[in-house]
Amino acid sequence: MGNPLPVIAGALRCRLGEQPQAVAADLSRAEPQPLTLPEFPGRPFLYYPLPPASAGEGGALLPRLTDCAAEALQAAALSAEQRAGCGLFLGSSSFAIGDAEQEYRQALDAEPHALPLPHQRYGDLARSLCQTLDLGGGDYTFSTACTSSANALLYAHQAVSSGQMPVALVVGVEGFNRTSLLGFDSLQLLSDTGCRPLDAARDGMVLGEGIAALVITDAQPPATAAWHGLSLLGGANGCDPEGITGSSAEAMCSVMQQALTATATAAGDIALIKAHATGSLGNDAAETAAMARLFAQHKPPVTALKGALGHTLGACGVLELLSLGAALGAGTIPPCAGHQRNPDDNPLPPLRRAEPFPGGRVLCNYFGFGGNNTSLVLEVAGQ
Amino acid sequence: MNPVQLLASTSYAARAEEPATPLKPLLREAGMSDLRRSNRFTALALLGALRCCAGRELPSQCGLYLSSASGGINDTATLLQELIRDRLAPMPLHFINVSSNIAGFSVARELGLHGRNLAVSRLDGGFDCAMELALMDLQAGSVPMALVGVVEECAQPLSSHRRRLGVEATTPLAEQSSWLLLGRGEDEGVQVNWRRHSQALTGEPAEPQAWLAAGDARTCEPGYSPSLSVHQLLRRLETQDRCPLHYLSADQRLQFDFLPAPTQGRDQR
Repeated sequence: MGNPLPVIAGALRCRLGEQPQAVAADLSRAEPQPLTLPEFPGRPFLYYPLPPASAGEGGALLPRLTDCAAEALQAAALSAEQRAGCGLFLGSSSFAIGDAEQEYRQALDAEPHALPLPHQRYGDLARSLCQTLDLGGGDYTFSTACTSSANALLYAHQAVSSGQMPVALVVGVEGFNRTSLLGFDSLQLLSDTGCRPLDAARDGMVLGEGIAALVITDAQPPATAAWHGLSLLGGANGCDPEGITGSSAEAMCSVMQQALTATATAAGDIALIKAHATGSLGNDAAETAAMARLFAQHKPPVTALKGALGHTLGACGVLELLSLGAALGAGTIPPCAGHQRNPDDNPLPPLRRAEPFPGGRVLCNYFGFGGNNTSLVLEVAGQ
Repeated sequence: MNPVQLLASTSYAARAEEPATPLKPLLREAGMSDLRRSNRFTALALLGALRCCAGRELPSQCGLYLSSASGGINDTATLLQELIRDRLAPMPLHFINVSSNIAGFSVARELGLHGRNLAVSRLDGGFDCAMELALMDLQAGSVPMALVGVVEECAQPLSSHRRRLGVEATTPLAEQSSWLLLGRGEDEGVQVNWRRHSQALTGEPAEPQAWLAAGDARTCEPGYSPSLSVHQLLRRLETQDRCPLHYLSADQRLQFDFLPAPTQGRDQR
């Protein structure tokens, strides 16, 4: 219970770049790009693509994913024997569907009866990574919508803590695809003006691409230095079976409490909350109420990252943990980019300016479709 | 720590037909009266889970671990055709139905489950992945019970689905919904042990695994499914004086043992 596992390496690819310190320094920026799909010219979108390309122009997903994962493994300096025992925990909501869309379009040019999704299985990306990177500890693919890579983190922690494997690579990946963009648009969940997490005038989400990878191990300091002083203590996952596109405040509060209990953390021990905070009307209201309920006495600072990174769906677990960790490790809590005005009913207003972070425990929330809810607890060493 | 026990198991596997065999009569038989606008993949998941639970009331924190090789491939392929070929934006319900964890959500809603809820996969071993995570949770005390399932559907037309699976045009296909219910209990019934080997086990599989090695899964009844070995395992558990029974994962590194309790001398079912 609450066994701290150091993060010994991390790598990320997001709207703000791929250098953790640079990303951390830019988390106050809320700068989505305009996006228009040629087949739907009358419907402009906002999006957070991976630089330097525009959305959908970055090339196939697997090479970019492999590059990021390889960077994390190289930084972890695992021996061949350690790689042979390293498990891979991968989370995504859309996998390579963006590539499949492009391949299908190209196939239709040659053959009007071309087959959509000729070879698409959830486990393909993870297996390719294991083979390319010589990882032999088993692979685990999670697809639970926005909690996908958060659940990958949760179970990687559990597997390493329980001695199933000494080291694990955890990956979150989400590439641009029309299915997700137009699907969320059909549900009227996207904003045309920008992502304003927990803001009184919020009107929806802005999606983004993201790839992130980290390595956790059971080796303890001083043998292994934690990346930006970051350790994962554990967390909890639960389901709200009443809300197919969003959970109740009660369900969110429950999973946050379970995460605290699982890591032997009191509410008063929490030095910071990273909210899920998508900018959607319903989700943000429920999360606000849940946080207010659990933190009625002790009110830690709150921040959120989707104004800076976009909602990277299944990747947000690992990506937001690393982005936040890089900032906290430098002694700074990033402000909640895009937030301008706190609603009257929110007793925990998110930060609008950066604040010093002296170290301590951080509660990270992730809430997704299908009522899937995950909260994780991190420990960040003080400066 | 109390041992992990097999409380129930069931497996539905049927030849895939064109048009697809209606599932509503089977769902009504299984006790589902409110047949909502779910897709076939979710309907298969509900059918197997309901049959496995067979009216048993589960604790609200029972975990649910659903695996699948390709999920709701029929609806996903259809959505892609409409989006890319026909340039039609998806309808809201259609988009929700292709989300990979909606089947697990639907099962949780039907059974009143608020605990851990995972949609997982592993190439050639989705069931192995789901079982491993469920057993980890049971042994850690994160869940009091675990409902573990593997669901595979066939997309229509079946000829296209055979192309996706890389099987011959005459290969019969099967859709599948195989589930088992695990719990922590006293020392009786069928115990479930597991271990992850550091290296793949080599050599001939020992009896009683011979049946897995005996034939090509493509020629087994009722037809080919990526997880047919799980169907065969669960049928074995149901139909014979079943234990001990050893199941080796596809990568030959994960072993599940179904063992009789010392007191077993009667039919636990």
